Amino acid sequence: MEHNSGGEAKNSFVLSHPDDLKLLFERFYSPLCNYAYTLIRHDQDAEDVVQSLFIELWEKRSNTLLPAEPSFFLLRATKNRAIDHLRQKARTLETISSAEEVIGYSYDPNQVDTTHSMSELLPFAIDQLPPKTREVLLMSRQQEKSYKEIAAALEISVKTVEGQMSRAFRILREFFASEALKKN
Amino acid sequence: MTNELEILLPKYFSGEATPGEQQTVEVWARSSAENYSEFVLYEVMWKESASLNVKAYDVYAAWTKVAPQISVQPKAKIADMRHVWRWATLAAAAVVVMLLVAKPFFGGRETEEQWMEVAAAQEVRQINLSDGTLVWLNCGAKLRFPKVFDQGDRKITLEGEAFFKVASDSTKPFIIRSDAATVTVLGTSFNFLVKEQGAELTVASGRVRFEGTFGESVILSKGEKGLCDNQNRNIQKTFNTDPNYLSWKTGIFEFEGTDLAQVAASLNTFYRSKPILLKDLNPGTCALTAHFEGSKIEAVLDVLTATCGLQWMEKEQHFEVTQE
Repeated sequence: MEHNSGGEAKNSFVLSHPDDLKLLFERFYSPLCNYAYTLIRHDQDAEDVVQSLFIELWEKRSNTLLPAEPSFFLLRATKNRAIDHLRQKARTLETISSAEEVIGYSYDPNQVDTTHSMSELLPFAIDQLPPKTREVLLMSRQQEKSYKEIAAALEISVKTVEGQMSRAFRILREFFASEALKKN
Repeated sequence: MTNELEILLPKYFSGEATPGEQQTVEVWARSSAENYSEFVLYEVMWKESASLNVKAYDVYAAWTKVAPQISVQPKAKIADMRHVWRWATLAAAAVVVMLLVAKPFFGGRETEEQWMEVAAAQEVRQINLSDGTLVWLNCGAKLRFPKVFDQGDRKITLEGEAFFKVASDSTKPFIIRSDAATVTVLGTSFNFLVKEQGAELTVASGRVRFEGTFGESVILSKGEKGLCDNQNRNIQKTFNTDPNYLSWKTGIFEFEGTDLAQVAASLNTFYRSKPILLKDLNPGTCALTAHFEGSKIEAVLDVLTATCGLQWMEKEQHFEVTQE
């Protein structure tokens, strides 16, 4: 488990009760699976990677200081595990290059990449939007529906759709502009 | 950025904006370098969010897989199965007896009694029941019980972890029900931990019948521990190997050649408000043999660091143990 090597933010915490872990799990499980999926492109493997991360967080709880806002800590830990997973998968195939073809993701085995691209992070961020906002955004971007079509499908006004779209992008913009992300 | 623009930008990129609104956005974007970079950020977010794959993963199903692997205590050795079978025969006899005794009391009289509910949030709570039974609820646990037990049984429900010291009364069985398992006793003391999809029961004195939701049960005696796994329909009897299973309540710790990471995890079940963090220490750094009883955390840390050649520091939210 990585340590928070920078300055210790206020309210960073150590897990001491199973409920502490459960709270973290409830908040981050699905977003982290969405993130892991962008790297692994396999649903079940993405879930396995994230589950094993939480089990390890618990096993190493007395060695792990979690930052008060643990998003980026968890993203980095997920990425490292996802890369390990891909590397293992590659070993079972003949050569690394053919593995890359199969899994559609290339990496340098000697360098653990701890930066995240926007396309990798968007599913993580979108999954954490308030439910209504998330639904409207996905109807617009995933299903390519117009504001009018969304309003009709959800039985809300076009003004409400405008409001939800504006809210969605405001939250995403704040997420991508956050200090913690720049440091990572 | 103004409210108006926050609404206009998504409209602009989705083609929902009127020609007038389009012009407003373009004029705004060209008016300063700062605005232009905002405009570009929105454009990138808009493009990258096309044909996204976002789905809601099933958190509940996943937690039922993870939860059984989350144990507060070190893993106990599984007892010899022949031993378990011998007890299982005994248990079968006990089930019949218990059903006969218990049946009249499960008949819906619950509603006539006045039930209370007590939950322990941040601190361990002690509860005295009307029959003289003492219950210590660990943090996060919840107990439901009748204000006064009526004539028949003594029946309560539990979520989470608690230590019970049941007042002896051979005519009134004491029955604890939970989502995961049912415990039936006459008079004894034990620790009962209800988890997602299972439960753990460790007996301090007397004998206890421990039954899973799938109908199988075991009888446990002093020093024994039952593990119930409802997902795999499996109930096992083992020996308790953790001398600190009650430390969350007592503050008494017994370590014998225990790895430092396990020592810290055990201590943190009691010293919850300001837990210990081992910083940059590898597993196997030090094995500790020590006894602590109601000590201040600072005194515990002094012993621990002196024995292992480490040092400790108090931080805002935790105590940090590091190399010297």
